[in-house]
Amino acid sequence: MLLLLAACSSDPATPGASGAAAGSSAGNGGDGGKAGGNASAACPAGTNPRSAVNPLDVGVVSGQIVDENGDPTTGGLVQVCGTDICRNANVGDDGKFVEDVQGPINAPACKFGDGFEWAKLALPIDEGDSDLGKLITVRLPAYADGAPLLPGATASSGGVSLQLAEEAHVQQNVIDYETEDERVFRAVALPDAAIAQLGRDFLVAYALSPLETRICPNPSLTLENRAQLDPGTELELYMLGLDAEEEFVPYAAWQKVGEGQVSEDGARLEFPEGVPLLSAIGVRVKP
Amino acid sequence: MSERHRLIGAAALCLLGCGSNAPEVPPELLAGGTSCAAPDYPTSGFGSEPGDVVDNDCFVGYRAPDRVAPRAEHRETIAFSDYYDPAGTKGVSLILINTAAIWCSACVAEHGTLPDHAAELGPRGLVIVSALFEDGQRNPASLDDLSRWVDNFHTNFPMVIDPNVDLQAYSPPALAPLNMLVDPRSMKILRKYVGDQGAVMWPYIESELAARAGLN
Repeated sequence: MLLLLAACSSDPATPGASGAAAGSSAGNGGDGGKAGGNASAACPAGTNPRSAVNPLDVGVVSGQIVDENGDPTTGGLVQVCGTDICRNANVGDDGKFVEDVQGPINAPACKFGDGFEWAKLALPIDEGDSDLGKLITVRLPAYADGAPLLPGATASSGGVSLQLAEEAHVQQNVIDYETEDERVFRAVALPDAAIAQLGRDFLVAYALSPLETRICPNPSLTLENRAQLDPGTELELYMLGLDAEEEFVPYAAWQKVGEGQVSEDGARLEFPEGVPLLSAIGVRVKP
Repeated sequence: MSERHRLIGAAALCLLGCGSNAPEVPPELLAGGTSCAAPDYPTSGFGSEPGDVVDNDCFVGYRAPDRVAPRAEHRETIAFSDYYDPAGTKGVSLILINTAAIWCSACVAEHGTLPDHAAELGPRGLVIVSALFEDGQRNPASLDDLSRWVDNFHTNFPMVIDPNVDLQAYSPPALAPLNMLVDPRSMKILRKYVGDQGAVMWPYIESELAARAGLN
């Protein structure tokens, strides 16, 4: 389920003009937007099917949140969430948490980082007790260093660029990201150790924010060639599901969402099909 | 909030908050006083499990956010006693008490479906009362949070804020959502679902509404 603020170049959202709960725009952060937008301007819903209900009995989930330097951090939030239920863990100043769940959760995962100050990631967890060890999260760029997501413009941050079409619609999570200042594009590269903890063979991975931002048509995506891949190398793009609604990818799972290649000059990884939603992304060489 | 909860809450806030950085909830976001009084409300049998009577918790929120713009100047005091219907004269057949938090992705997914259920089953006597208790960073929910929430989901049922987390009395701490079905004739808890268990809850609600229609 997207939490939506629709903004577009051709059909600007009219403050307080549409939607079932008509009224002034106050309460939308004073941004002049209207949550929910209007139906004609909304992006089409994703078509990924929801996971079957298959609850697992989760016991005690524990771990320690550290930053890219290995230093303990509270890292915003730590949650044990499934598609049906969500629990917040208390994180100590030493970054350690112990969440005594003792109950069934559908598609259980540990989500860590908050998506505001820290990159938000998710790791599936199994039945019974899970000691997840050290979980690395990375600080996102400051809001002030973010780039606005505007139709017809390129938004760049942290080595990631999104090229929005002239007719692009931008729908954002206006409940989590309360003000326009927080709804800017920010990206941060995940260090190798963070990628390894995710159990993936990605050459590069990034956390993108604001989470759950939907842009349609998909913005094309360009990444710096940090892995120094050869020009023309064919690539696959994966996205992490952080949303229990699972519109685009399964919850707490990585799924391929597109293909691309290294640019002719070797400077960039280019994905013309782009990403359907802002979340964590990873890139691997096409087998 | 009920008087019982108010006393417990005051003690808990003192234990947790005296001399600490615990967030303070502005008094205007807490309902209380005579507007929450319900002399006819049950006076005994309170508890948190099926068969127990729910406290007459009292909140600030919006009773009909689809009809009155959910802005602070339109906030209302809403108590569970508003839906207590011992004689069946209010047309309330079943009450669904729901909790939600902005950090809770399962709640977000669930609230994408609740307005349709309310539209379909409201005419048959189902009243949904949902309480938003925390924002995306675990701060107590504010009226601004609630406005954004109901705007986004086009909420068409009473929705309140629960910044003191009074409804945590019915579920394990720091967990959401909670769904609790209450009999409006007695205010006794019929069923309690921890988490979004729509696959089993909605068929139960359907059957219960059908049974109650037969009784009326």
